[in-house]
Amino acid sequence: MRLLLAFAAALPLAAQLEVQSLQGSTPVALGPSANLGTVAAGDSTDFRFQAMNTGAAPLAINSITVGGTGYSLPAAFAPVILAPGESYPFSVRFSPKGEGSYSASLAVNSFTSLLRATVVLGPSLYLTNGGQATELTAGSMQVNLVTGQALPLAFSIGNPHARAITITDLSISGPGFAMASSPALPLMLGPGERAAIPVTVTASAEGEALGTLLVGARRFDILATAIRPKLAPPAIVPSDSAPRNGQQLKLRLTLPQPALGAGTGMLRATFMGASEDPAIVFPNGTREIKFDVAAGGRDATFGGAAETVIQTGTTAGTLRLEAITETGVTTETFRFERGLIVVDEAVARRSGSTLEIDITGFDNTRAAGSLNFRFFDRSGAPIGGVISATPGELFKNHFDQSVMGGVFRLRASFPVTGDATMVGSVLVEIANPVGRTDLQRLLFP
Amino acid sequence: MKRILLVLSTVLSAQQAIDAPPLAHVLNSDGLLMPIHGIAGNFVPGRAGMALLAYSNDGDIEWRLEAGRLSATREEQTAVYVTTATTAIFRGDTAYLPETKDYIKFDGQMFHHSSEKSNLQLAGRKVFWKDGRLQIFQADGAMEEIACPLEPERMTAAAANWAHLVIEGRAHLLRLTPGRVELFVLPERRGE
Repeated sequence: MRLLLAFAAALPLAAQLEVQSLQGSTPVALGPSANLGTVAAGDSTDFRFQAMNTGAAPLAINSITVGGTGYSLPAAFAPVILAPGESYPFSVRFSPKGEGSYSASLAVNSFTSLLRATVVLGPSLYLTNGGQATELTAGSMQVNLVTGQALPLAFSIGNPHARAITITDLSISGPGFAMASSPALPLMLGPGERAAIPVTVTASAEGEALGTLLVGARRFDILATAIRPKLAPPAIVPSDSAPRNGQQLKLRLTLPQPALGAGTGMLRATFMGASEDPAIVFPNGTREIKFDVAAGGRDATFGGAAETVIQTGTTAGTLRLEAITETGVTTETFRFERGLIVVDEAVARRSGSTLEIDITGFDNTRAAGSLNFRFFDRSGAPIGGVISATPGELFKNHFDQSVMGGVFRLRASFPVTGDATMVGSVLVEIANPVGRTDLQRLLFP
Repeated sequence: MKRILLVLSTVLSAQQAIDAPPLAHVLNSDGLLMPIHGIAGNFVPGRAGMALLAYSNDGDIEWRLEAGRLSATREEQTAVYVTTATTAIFRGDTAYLPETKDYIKFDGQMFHHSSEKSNLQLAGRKVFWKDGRLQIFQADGAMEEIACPLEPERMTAAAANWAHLVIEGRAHLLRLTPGRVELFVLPERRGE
């Protein structure tokens, strides 16, 4: 037993080289010869291999060479030592100029393999964009699209050769890639003839997808990068360039450029005034309303409507509107200065021997003070002088308790001694600290 | 003329009232009666109240249809009519109950069955939609128009000079005041 153990310990650890093809889904050990398949003349194809140390000791890779017309190593080789189980990947580039059979000797250290390939005349590949057809001479291309978009790629194939070629294989593969329509196969193309092979790419999520277009012996990779477009903040376009209190202000939101993809945002209102004003809301009853922009559109919609409104309230202050998207904010600010009292409705009526005046309006200063009344008979002649009142305390009490901004309704009753039907009209003035508002003459019916 | 004596200066302050009563009343989308405060274009919906099947208030008569009864009120005089109707159309002093095809007229004190068809009065006016416009025929016959691209699904009186319209599912208030016809969006009540 001791003798056997000593013998085993004296054995050197073995290093072992295996050259593998990486063309398939799993590495395949390369034999003395290998068929690389059919390649189109004029194409440049990189065949991938790896040198693997399948032994238990370190392995030195001292040389990798390839010799044969049309074959080359795309990257310079420098000697490397592989640990057990380690591999060294490399490529052999094949760029044949004309049709025929091609072979080359691939050597890795002392291992050699005869590489063989068949070269046929292949079609040219074109991509039409904006009416301009461009020949694709590389083996791959990259496209960008937005999620949810179906991107059409107007490919076509043509025969640049002096004699007819026949296409027997035509396919597209890869997630999201599809051929919109394809010609019947086999397809014979005479010299100079072309055929359309439109392809569409769709992506439901952000990320990259690789598609492979196979046209006869030609292979073309398409790397599609899908992005989710982010909506730029739209401009706020009010229907009135100088809005004021007491309005329903119509608002539109417009992008400077059509949106690449659909998006949403929020239109927000902020009011800063001497007091809170519950009337300042969007139609949903709040100070925030969602908007949507369709892909390719410039105008936002609000629940399907092209515009929304905001009530501007009845209180002096500053209304700030912000159109907010994930990329930024646009702002419009409107200043509602302290102004004269605005009367919305005023009615004069007679009730028996009492004259009644009913005025609805708003005072954005919330500080209305004095009233003047001047009565006229049916012929327009004044009756008596100006009757003044300073119900400032009444207004103050009202505004102190009111949560309705500057809105008020004033009802004044005037008992009349005598024939009240002879009173024909009244002029009313109502004042606040800003100034005096003269109502139109109110007629008693 | 000399007989007119306006007793004003001494009693004026006692005769004034300043407040902000509801501008109108409407049934909201849940069928709840809701006061609307504020002024034209700056509405503040109040707290929703009782559930009704139909409602109208043209400033003269307030109609209410609730489960089992129809009521009308004018100048604090209320009459009640027992009915199983679930829908009603109110036009002036007449209620039309489509399910029984009854016309019920209110004379201010009691109801009368009527064979007369409503003349489509809405708060004392006739309102029609035609070619993207609302045509309002005032009591004096004057016609006013206002743009309204879509035909209202519902129109009911909300106050003496206001009508509640539902257009494309959205509540609006139409001001009917002669010479000042305007169509406004009625905001939802905050938090509802």
